[in-house]
Amino acid sequence: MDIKTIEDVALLARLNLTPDEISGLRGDLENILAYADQLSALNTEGVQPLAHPGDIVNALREDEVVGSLDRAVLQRNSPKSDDGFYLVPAVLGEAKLTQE
Amino acid sequence: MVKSKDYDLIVGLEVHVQLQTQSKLFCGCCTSFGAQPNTQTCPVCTGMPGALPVLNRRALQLAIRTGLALNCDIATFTKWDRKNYFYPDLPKGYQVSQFDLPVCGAGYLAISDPSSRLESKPIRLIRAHLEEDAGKSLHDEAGGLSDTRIDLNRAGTPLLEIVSEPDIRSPLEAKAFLSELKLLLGYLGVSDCNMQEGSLRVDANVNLHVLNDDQLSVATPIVEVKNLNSFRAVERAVTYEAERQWKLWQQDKLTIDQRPKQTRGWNDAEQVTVPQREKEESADYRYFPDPDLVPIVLTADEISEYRADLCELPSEIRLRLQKDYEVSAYDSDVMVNQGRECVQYFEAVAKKTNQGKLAANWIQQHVLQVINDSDCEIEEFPVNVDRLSSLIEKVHAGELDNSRAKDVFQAMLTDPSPLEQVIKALGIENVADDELETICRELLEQNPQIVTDYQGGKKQAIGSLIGQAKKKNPNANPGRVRELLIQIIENT
Amino acid sequence: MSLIELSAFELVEGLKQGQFSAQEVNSSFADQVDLHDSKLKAFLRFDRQECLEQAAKIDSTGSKGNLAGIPIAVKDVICIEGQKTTCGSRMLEEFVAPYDATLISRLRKSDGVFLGKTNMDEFAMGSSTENSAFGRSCNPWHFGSVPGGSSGGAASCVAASLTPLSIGSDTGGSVRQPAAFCGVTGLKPTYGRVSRYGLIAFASSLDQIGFFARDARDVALILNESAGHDQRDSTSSREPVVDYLGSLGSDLSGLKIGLPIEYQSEGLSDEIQASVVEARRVLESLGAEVSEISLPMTQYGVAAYYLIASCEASGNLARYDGAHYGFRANCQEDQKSRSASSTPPDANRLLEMYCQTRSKGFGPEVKRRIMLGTYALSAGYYDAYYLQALKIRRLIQNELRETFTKVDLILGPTTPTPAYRIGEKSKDPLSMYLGDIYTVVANLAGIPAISFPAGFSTEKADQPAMPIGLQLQGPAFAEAELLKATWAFQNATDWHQRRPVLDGVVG
Repeated sequence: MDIKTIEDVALLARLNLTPDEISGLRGDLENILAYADQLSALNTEGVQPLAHPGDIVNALREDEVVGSLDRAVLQRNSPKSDDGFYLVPAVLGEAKLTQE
Repeated sequence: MVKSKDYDLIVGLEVHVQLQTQSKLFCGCCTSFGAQPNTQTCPVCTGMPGALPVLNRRALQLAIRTGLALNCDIATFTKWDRKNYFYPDLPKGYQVSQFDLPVCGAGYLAISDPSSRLESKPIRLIRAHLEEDAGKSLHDEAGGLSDTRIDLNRAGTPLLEIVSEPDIRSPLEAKAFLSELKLLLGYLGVSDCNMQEGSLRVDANVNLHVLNDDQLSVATPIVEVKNLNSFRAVERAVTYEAERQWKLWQQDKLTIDQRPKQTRGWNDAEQVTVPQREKEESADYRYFPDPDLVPIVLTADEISEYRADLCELPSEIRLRLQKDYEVSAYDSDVMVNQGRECVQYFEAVAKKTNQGKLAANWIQQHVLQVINDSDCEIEEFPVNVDRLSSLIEKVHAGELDNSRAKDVFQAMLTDPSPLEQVIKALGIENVADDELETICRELLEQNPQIVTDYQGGKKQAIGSLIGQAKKKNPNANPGRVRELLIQIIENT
Repeated sequence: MSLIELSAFELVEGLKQGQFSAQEVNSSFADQVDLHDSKLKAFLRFDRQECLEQAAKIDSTGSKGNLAGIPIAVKDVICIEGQKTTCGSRMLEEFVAPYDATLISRLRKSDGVFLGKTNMDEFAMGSSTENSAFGRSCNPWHFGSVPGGSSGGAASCVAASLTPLSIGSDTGGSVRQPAAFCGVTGLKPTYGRVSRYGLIAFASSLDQIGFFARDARDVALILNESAGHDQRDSTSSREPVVDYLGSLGSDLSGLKIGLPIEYQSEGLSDEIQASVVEARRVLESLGAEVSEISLPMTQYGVAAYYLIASCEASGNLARYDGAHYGFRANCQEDQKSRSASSTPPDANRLLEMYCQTRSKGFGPEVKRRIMLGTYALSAGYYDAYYLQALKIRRLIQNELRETFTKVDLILGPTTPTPAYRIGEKSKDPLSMYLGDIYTVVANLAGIPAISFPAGFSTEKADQPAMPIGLQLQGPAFAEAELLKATWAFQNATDWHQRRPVLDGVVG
């Protein structure tokens, strides 16, 4: 696992890592993945992956409007909001029209 | 065979359709358009810690219904996947979508080929899957440093993403595909397809097949054009891209393998496509099954039930109208394209009058013209089924000639009185035969040359007399006048 | 007898009979918190007044709920409306939950009293509670040792009699391991038995809310109030809920218990192995038939678990990006101080905000798992890691299902060692992960499992005798059988009644 891979993954995960963190993570991840490599020794041909431990299917709700939560309550936790909108830093140079 | 053009245009469309549900895909928040920002949100659709999604039954039903109408294979096992990316209008940091097992598999939609008007061409569909919509980002228009504003009311609204094969070969075909799709969705009651409100959004994948220096056909790099928010925009953007890509090919000769897919946006004001900002990294959405949502399992019987419940589709109605009412393919197309209400109106009039062709003519030439000009709905059209039927019956019985009938129809738009009264108010009344005969005899006496011409074999000569008869009495029925004129000439 | 020495079951009885009031009960436990929690640090937030007000209301209205007046501590991973819910993270340091978790609503209806929120490893990632952004908690048996994790605070406060009941969450052993380390009883129910709505997700397909108490009867008491289908959790089960209290008994005749030979792996402490042997003898004396079984897939559990859990976590924790709630880094300031940074100051401000927020808001273990999960899901690695782990998971579940056609329950150790000293393993993530070898399997397979006190280690130079916990696992929805066997064991032993001496024990 090279530094570039670590940096690429960090960008995907939106993490800024210091050089120390990068080298530490590189060692940790290499150890963990080396340990995880024992899984590849197993023949799993034809085995259905198990994403859900339960056997539940078709959990559905009826199409009914139940009251939304008060905006003030939800935005109480907002780092920055104004006039009912959440505010985030602009993406500079993005060739977007006003409505995404 | 000589090629008539320099390239073949290859277009595939991705259409996002907002499904007409009351509540969102995974929570009970209202989906109506135009509310105050962030007033239709809850812990689930704002991605609050600990909140969990539960699938809206109706959204699933609408997706299956659409899939069946689009001739898609409906999956007996379908699941939910997370598409991971960061964007502020995506509060969970992932979009719940369907990756490898969409609810609707391969299908097709037949379009009328605009070049020969009514010949059908199937556009194959790759798939249609359900997913949640993102919120809206309102960017600073000046492009400056001020913050972007986020409204999450739309976040979590159910979308059906319909993906076509690259079977579309012209801007007109692209438009025809979208028109037919929109019509179908309307008939199905799946979506209002209101493009202004974003209920229907289109991305187009465009490239060209060209001949390289060795005269071999090669594909140029694919460009995805986003932000197409009207059919006209699709048509124009595809046209623009075809020309742009052709010019580019002549310069760089790059083929599909030599350049990754690019994304461009349609700028409606400038009528051009512009490159969109390249992301910091290559897209890697890391799809994986959403562990918060369980799979959907449908039995073959359940799918059959959905199929049985399916309403009559536009393509089926077109054929049936031709068969049942003996209207032309063109006539049935016009009425079906107008929508279900128009078809119902037509069928009611046609049944009542037993005059399908006449009903179709009247609806196309008069009713639709008024409706399309005035933007009113056919249900509230002042000349309702009964009134139009009685008018058509009068025309068919020869009691009203076409020009008088048009006058009556115009009057009926504003005068709600019964037909007879409207006719009376216009001073239209049947002229007694003896009065007509008097007029005819006078006219023949005044125009001996016409009598001579008629007797000499120029039967059409009496046409001018019919016009004169109407001048003498506007209520004179032209058909009857003709009959009487002939009678008098031949009896003398 | 002091009220804090009574079990929840005994408190319920006493309250019903009017022997004491809810206010007396709650002030007794509150006193205990005031007295000891400054050292234990089991609680992140404890509001004496709020707790006594709830108790007073119950006294005055004569509430008849099945938990009326009983104090319950809640791991800070579960949302209580209007209260801070931090998940042990800077990211949610100021986050006030805008809604109640389904479990909280249910326990409100049962008239339970919420005592406070307990400390935990950040986002439930860890096995020692050393990963909390708000300081570590201590093991009441030895303040220099870890209470286990990630529900360390919740286990610790029951062991120290700061509360009779507490709620934790268990993704790979986060209830059972701290229960073992602290000498209390801890249940992880079947996946889907208790609603996860309002439980802040770590790994959604593995997470399950669990309970701490002194004994199995108290666990049955709170499980009775907590279990059941929830329309708001798609993964919640519709399986009928049984009366867990009513299912308790002391005769285990006919109960078949399997003892996996693989659980006697190297790395298992001799003392814990001896406790397994002793527990086998006790269970047999109660009528159970214990036989050796083989679970060869067990050895792959940890690897499969860490891949699946990290992949799901990388998605679940993407929402913490500073955009809508929680911590947001102040990027303007940072840019001034980062002149040599690789990112130019006029670059994408949004990206900068995301990266700064997540780098500052998350601690090292959380970052490690996000990195692992992001990597394992990324193009080119998905099949080898994530997908292969899901297939192994299927094989593990198949093996257990097959096993449960032959035996009713599986007995084994909860942990390879008793509680270790603070700092002993925090530098080596993999060795910490390997401590979960016996617990992760139940989460992968979605089955219920319980840890109960079954002995003590011998005193060492740097550590007093520490509790030993053993684990019983059962097939899906066999909570009643697990609780019955544990309760029978507890009727025949007194390990669960031993309490640490809190005064004068220093780390």
